[in-house]
Amino acid sequence: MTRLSADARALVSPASTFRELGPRRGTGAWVLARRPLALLLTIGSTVSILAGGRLTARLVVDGAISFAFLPIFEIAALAIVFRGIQGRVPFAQAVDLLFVANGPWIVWMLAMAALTSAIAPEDLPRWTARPRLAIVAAATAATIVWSVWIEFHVFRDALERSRGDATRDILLRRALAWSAETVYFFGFALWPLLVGMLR
Amino acid sequence: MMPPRLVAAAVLAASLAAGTLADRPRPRPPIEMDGHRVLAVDLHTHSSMWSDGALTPWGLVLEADRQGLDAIAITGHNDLFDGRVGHAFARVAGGVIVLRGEEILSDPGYHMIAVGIRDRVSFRQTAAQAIDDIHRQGGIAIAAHPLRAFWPAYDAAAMERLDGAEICHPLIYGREGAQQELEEFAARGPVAAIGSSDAHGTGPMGFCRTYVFAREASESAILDALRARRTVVFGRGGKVYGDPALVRLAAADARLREAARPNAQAGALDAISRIGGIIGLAGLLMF
Repeated sequence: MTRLSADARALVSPASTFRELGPRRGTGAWVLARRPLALLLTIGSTVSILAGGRLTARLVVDGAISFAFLPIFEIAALAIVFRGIQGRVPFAQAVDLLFVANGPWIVWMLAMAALTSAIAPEDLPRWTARPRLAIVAAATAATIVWSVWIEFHVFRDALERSRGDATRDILLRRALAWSAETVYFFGFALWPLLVGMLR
Repeated sequence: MMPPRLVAAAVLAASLAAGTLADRPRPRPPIEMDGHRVLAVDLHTHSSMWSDGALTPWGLVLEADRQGLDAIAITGHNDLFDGRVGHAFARVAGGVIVLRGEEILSDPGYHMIAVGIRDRVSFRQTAAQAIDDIHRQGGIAIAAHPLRAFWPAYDAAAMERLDGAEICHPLIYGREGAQQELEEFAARGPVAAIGSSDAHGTGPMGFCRTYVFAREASESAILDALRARRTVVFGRGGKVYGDPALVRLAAADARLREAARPNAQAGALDAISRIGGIIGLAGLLMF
């Protein structure tokens, strides 16, 4: 029988998956880059389907370039948290394990791509307004919870952190990465909001 | 038997090849009407360098070509950088005309598109002051998706100065009553009818577009035509807005109505690439 990938197994049973993956000693550029690149391939493909209505090399590459900041900030935030972890797992392996926790986001993106493939362009804006927006918001919230749950097991079972330390690691890493990503992505659009809040 | 992961990779590669083969610019033969060159433009788009779009500025320019647009304005949020990059790329690459612009997200509560400007416009001023600033730079001011919540910021002074207002925007397909609110706003002043996709890369660019009746295909001619309100927009349900004389011309000509449909050329290869791509990526995740 065909064995499911580690990414697929981590979606449903992260504890056992990361206990199995943790002792591996992956090092080198390929181990560091393979899952971030796979994530960018999925992002680029989703952008291509959403923006162009087709999967084309031009839009896949363009979408990947546009969102390259995501894995960069995710890895940078892990590097900061990883300094405090005395463990047996090399950093390249830790990055590889961390990106296994993005499985729920890949599922979310594929669902978005499937949805836009199935409906007419005129119907797409309905999903940005209530009541359908609530479905998208609920799916996004569920994806966040799901990915945090998997990431907890990266720290707990692969990097062998205590429950408290794993929780602190996730909170710090997510705070660093998400703050940087939000500021970068929304850029100048945040200024009026901040000015309004400070008044 | 081939390993499932290899099958998934092959399906993804084949889908990518099919989509890339289908990825050709939509033909856009020059359209002349009443002595004007009719140009399809999208004056409200966002790219990814310093805005919240999903495509790079040069990616937007190439995609505009694929969507049959003659010109776009790249309008970063309170920022001109992406517009400048897209403008420089278009000058080198040719094809689509790019106008530098920004979407002013103001603290007093309006969203305004500034097109054809050289410097950033401050968001810490009233709508009328912002429009004066845009005009001093030789630009055009367009009210962006002016739903009822934005109306208080557009006082009488602002409405006197405003050049255009979005009357077709993806919002009208998503929100109940949005179409009526945009129509009521446009009725407040002698503004050019504008159709814009507000493209962030999550839907087709040019989904809503403006037909500009210009003297020629150039940046300055587009700005002149917008100042003179020589525009036509095809809205929801086939409704046509704009200069009454031009609306009569445009409504009688099937070419504009047909070209206004997004992804009008979508075919079998597109569908194969989408479905195969999703299946291939899902397979790579699972196996």
